[in-house]
This record gives sequence, structure tokens and C-alpha cells, in this order.
Amino acid sequence: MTSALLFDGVTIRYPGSTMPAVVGLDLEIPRGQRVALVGPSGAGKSSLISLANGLVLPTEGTVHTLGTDTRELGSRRHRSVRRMVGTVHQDFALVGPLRVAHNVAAGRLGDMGRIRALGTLLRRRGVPEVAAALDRVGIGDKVWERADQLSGGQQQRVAIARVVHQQPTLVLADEPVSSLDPARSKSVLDVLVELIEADPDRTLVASLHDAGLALSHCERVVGLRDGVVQFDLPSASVTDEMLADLYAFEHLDEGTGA
Amino acid sequence: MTTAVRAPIDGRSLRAPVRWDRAGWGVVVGALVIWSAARAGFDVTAIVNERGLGQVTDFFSASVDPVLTADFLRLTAREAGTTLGYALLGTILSLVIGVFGGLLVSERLWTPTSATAPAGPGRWVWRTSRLLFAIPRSMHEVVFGLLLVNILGLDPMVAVLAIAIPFGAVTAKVFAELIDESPRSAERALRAGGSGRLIALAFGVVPHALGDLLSYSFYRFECAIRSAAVLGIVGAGGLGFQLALSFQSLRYDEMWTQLWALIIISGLADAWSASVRRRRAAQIGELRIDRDPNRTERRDPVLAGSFLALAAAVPLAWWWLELDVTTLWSDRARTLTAELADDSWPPTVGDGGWSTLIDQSINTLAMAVLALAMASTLAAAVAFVAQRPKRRPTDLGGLATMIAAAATRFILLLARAVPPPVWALLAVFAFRPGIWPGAIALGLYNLGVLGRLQAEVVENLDDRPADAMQAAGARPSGSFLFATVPAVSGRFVALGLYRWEVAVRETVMVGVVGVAGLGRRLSEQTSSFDYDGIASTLLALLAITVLVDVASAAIRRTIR
Repeated sequence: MTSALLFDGVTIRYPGSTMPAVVGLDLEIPRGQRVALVGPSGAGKSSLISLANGLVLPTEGTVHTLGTDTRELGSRRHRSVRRMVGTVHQDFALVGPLRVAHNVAAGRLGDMGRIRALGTLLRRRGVPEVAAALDRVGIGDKVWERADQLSGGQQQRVAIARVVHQQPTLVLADEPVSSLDPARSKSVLDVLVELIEADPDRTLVASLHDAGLALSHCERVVGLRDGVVQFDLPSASVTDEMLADLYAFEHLDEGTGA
Repeated sequence: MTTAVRAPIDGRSLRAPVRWDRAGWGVVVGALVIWSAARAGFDVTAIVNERGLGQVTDFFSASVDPVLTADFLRLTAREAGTTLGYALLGTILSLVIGVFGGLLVSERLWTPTSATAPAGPGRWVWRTSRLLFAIPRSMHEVVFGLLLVNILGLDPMVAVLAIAIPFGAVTAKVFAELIDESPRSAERALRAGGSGRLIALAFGVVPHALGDLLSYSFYRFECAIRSAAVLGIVGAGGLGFQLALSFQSLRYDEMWTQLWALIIISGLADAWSASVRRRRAAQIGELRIDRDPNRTERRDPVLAGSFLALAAAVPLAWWWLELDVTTLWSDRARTLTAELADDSWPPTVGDGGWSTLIDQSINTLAMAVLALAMASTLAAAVAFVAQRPKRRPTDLGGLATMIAAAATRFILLLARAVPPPVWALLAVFAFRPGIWPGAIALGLYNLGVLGRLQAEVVENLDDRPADAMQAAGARPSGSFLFATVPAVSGRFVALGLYRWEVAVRETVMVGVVGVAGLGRRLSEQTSSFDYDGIASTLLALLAITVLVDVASAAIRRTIR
């Protein structure tokens, strides 16, 4: 069995920026784990997520997602692998003028042929599974709203419902609860954890800026800073001092003072 | 919290609520298209004129064989300079009218800090000026051309004013919208600091809105070139006039020299305008659909240079056209204006009475409906092919896509650079007189304009949702259906509606060459100096324009 994610000497430099966002990263995440990425803004958490789903390719090194090199992942042959990778994007990546129901249904596009995709889009009857996914995140009453009519927090939950509907093996979540209040953050993360626990093979990699949520919902915590792994420990071993050090301001000034 | 987990679907209806307003308008538009086609006639043998088809093939085969003698090229270049001069001076003058007019018709200028709408005695000035600007906006350049030719004779002022007046009214509306939509905070701060309303507006709002307006004016310049060519056909001189002369003697090879000149000029102007608008968030006026709030607005040397170049060309164009402003208040012009005003009021129904007037009005409406039905259907399909590839092609397939895109963009350029009256004259060869030739000519022209605007919409699309879907395993066809189509369809409909409004005005353009509708009536009346008849024709045109504008605004509300 291949690992869910395998980063091998990965460095990423974005065009026009002097500092690499991720530097020489080695990381292996076996299947079945729930991993939280923590660290201050600009630590490379989002880059890591985008490297994992193949939307960004490494400048150096290789990334293997569910055993496939992400350089190959975009090809037609590997569509079945991509279908098993679900992402909650930081900007939600919803289609604004599209109804919530169709935004969620789009999670299953990987299973649909052209005709079925068209049929799903035109159907006015509604899909019970879609409604169920929306119910799970608490916005079952918004099924036929336009996605761009919703508040930020509601849009974020649509994005999560889409991943729930997709039923992927690897769930990548980039700040999945950033727009939600604390109580709702917890219950929405519960939904993601439940999705993972439904199958022992399922893996969750979530970047979270709330260290408390990271410790309560994930079994492994990776602390990132300036594109480098600072610690990689089971949740139980992560101490308050480590977290305080990770987010400490004096380091920030050194690191980003270009 | 119990919101997260709830018993699923508990017998509630999952059915999508029906949007009756949208469905209703869909039926109305569909019925309108069918009705228009029925009015124009379905019978192909009665529509197509087989004997004329040879002329059309002759015309197109001459495209590869234009006249290239030094003398003729010199003549063409000189006339092209004239057409460009009209377009340039017309645009600049319309910008001047637009800036002052825009302030005048803006709500903001007449709204006291304490109120949210124009109040006090000023609101009457506001209402009057709005009405005054709405009338020229509803008239096509050719209408002004026909009227001004009668007053000023064959003077270059005719073309400049014929462009500047309606364009100025449109620009005023766009500028007023820009002013009214800009944030009030800066203006409020100035007002609180003790400055007057006009000063606060001038320093707090105008600088921001003016930049957008300047970039919009490049789009108007590109439209003005096409208008200047058409005005030439009406008699104002320049490339259009030469085109008409060559057409009369059926010299297709000469026409193609002139058409290639027009295609090159239009192509360059379109590319320039597009690059200026890409640099500055200029999805404004009829181009607007929504603004990218993340776009930063900063000083840009290309932008500033483009505008300086345009400004520097003004004295050059003035000298080239030998423009003489005094013709405007010459005795002759004054006498003729007084005569025209006197004769045209009160309007009479004109030859043929009410029934003919109504009949021709309905034909005009049908022509615009058919033209847009054809143009928008084709344009929607073509826009995706015509979009510029985002990346350099890496394989043979990518190269083929790039070539297909370039070829499509060229066809669209051809469709809009050839003046609609020329399309109409050709259509008159191929089809029997009636609504179809006019509808097809206008349809082709609008396909060119609309296809390009829609391709721009596709190019400016946010790719992230589609990329996200494909990263989750969707086929390209799936992400096209779920991400691309919903994102563009509202904008496509909005642009189509906007062009429909314009097409009603444009029927005048094809009317001058004798196809059906109010345009034909208008050109007959102007050539016979039947001024009181003209007034009624213009009023009928105004009525259809208002009708279509109202319908279009209502439909646009339902697609929000």
C-alpha cells in the first residue's frame, strides 16, 4: 500500500518572489492518518495543500499523491486518482452563479460521463445525497440559493459539503473553518473527521490556525514555519511551548524581513 | 449545537423553485424570435435570390485580388486618414461632452450630503438634463449624419458631430454611473472639511472615475472608427464614401483595397483598446458586468502614453480634415436649421399614413430581433474558440487550437470591420428585398462585435473553480458545464441584450441602402427633404428604442 502523500525534497518558488514558500520538504503521510498543519501565515501550509492536489507543481523534488507523481496527475489517465483527492480550498473555489445544490453535486463529476453531467445540471428534482451533505454542515435550507448569495461562512460549508459528497480517499482542507464561529468550527470539523473515519484508508490533511482544533481533531501535528518543518509529532506530545515558539513574533520578523 | 447533524431530508421537497419571471421572459423572447422569422418569411425559394449569388461569390473572390497600384493605394491611405480623423475628433469631443454631461446627469452632484437622492431645486435641473441626454443616446450616428448633411452640406464637421453627439450622450451616462457608484467616503470627508459640493466631487470622486472613463473612451474610439466608415457611406467622405463609389461601379477589387485598409485599422484599434482596458479595470458601461475588486489601480506608462498619443493626434487630425468650426454658425447653417426646425414640427404621419408607419416600425423591430437571435447564438459558440490561449502551446493539439482561435478572431474582425451597409448591399444581391437582408447584414456585424466581447468575457474568467473541479477528477467537459457555462451565461445574455438595444438603432444603417424598415423610410425622407415626415419616423424609432430598452432592462433584472 502506497502512502497517501509523499513529499521528497520539495522546494517551491513562486514567480516574482525571492523567498521560496517551501524549502527542501520531506514528509510522508500514511493512509488513515489525520494530520494537522499548523504555523503562522506564510509558513507554507497552503502551498503544501496545493502541491498535494497537483494544482501547484514543485520547483524541485517530487510529490506523490496516492502513489502518483503530481507531475503526471493532471493527465487524462490519472483522472481516477484525482477523483479520490478532495480539497476544501481556502477561497472555497465555488461557482458563484451556480446553485448550491449543483456546486455540491460537482463533487461527483469524477464519476460522471458527459451525458450524466448535463443531466445533473439540468435536473430540477434535487439529489437526496446532496441535500444530506448540506444537512450535515447545517445549511440544508440553502439548497437552491445561488452560491454567491451566501455569506462567507455558508460558502465555506458548501465547499465542505462538496467534499463530503465527493467521498474521496484523501481529504485536503486549507483553513476549512476560517470563516466560522468557534462552535460551528468544531461541529464542521467533526463532519470531516466522520468522513475520514468511515473508511480506515481515508486520510485528512488540514491546515488549521486554531491549534486547539488541530490537537482535538487530528492525531498528528506538523508545525511549519518559513517553509520548513519545525516539528512533526503525535498530538499528545505537542506542548504549549512548542506552539508558542512556532507562532512567536521575534522569529517572524527575522524570517520575513526581506 | 445541533446544526451539524440532522436527520436527512425528512420529507421536505428537494425540487428547485421555478423562476417564473425568467421562464416567462424566455417564452416571450422565443415567441418574439419565431414571430419575427414568420414576418420575414420562412419560404427559402421566396427569400434567396439565386441569380444574385454569383455577385456574392465575385465579391468574395476579389478579396485576394485588391487593387494595389500606387495611385490607388495613395488615395486609399488618404481616405483612411480622413476616416481615422473623424473617429479621433469625434471620440475626443464625445469625451468632453461626456465629462461635463456626466457631472450634470450624475445623482451625486445634486444630492445634498444629508440626502440619498437629488433634492431641492437642483433636482429639476437633474431631471431635465437626464431627459436631454437620453434622446441623442437613442439615435444612431447615421441619423445625425443624415440630418447634419442637410444643414452643413458635405463638411467634415458632419461626421465629427454625428459621432460626438450620440457618443457624448452615452459617455455622459457611463461617467454619471461611475461617479454615482464610487465610494462616498472621500467626498464626505472633503464636505465635512468645509468644501462645496462641486469641489468635493471634483477632488473626491472625479479623479477616480476619470481614469476608468479614459480607458472606456478607447473602446468608444474603436466603435467610432466603425461609425466613421458608415458615415462615409452616407456622404461624409473618407473610406466609407470611396467604398460606396466603388460599389456603385461594381469594382469589387477596389472595394477590397478599402476593406483591407478598414480591417487593418480596426484590428489595430481593437487590439490597442483591449490592451488598454486590460491594464485598467474597465468593465464599465455596456462592457460592465462586474468589476474585479482585487484589481489594483496604479499609474501605468502604457496607459498614460496611449492617452497622450491620442491627445497629440488631435491637432494633426484637425489640420488633416481642414476642420472649420465657423461653418456651424454660418448664415446658411442657421437658415437651414431654422427651416428644419420649422418644417419638422408638428410631425405628420408621412406618405402611406399610420398603417405604413406602423408596418415599417414592426419590420424594424423584427429585423433587430432576427439579427440578434442569429448573432448571439453564433457568438456564444464562437467565443470559446476565439479566446486567446492562456499558455504557449506545447504540442500539436495546442498549436491547432491557437491557429483555430486566430482564424476565428480574424473572421469576427472581418464581420465587424466591413460596414453593415456593405453587408446589406451584398445581402440584397443574395436575398430578395425584405427583412432578411437587413437582419442578416446586422446579424453578421453584431456577430463580429458580440463574438469579440464574449471572447473577452471568457478570457477574463476566473479559472479557479474549473481547475478545482478537474483536480477532483472532473472531465474537462464536466468542469466546462459546471464551472464555465454558469459563469459566462449571465454575462453573455447581458451583452446580447445590450447589443439588441443597439441593433434597433443600427437598423438605420442598413436602411440607407434600401432594405426594409424605418431606416429606409428615413433615408428616403432626408433625400427628399420631407422634414415633417422625418420627425414622425424619428419618433417611431424612439418609441421602439424605448420599448426595447425597457424590455431589455426587465430581462436583465431577472438574470441577476
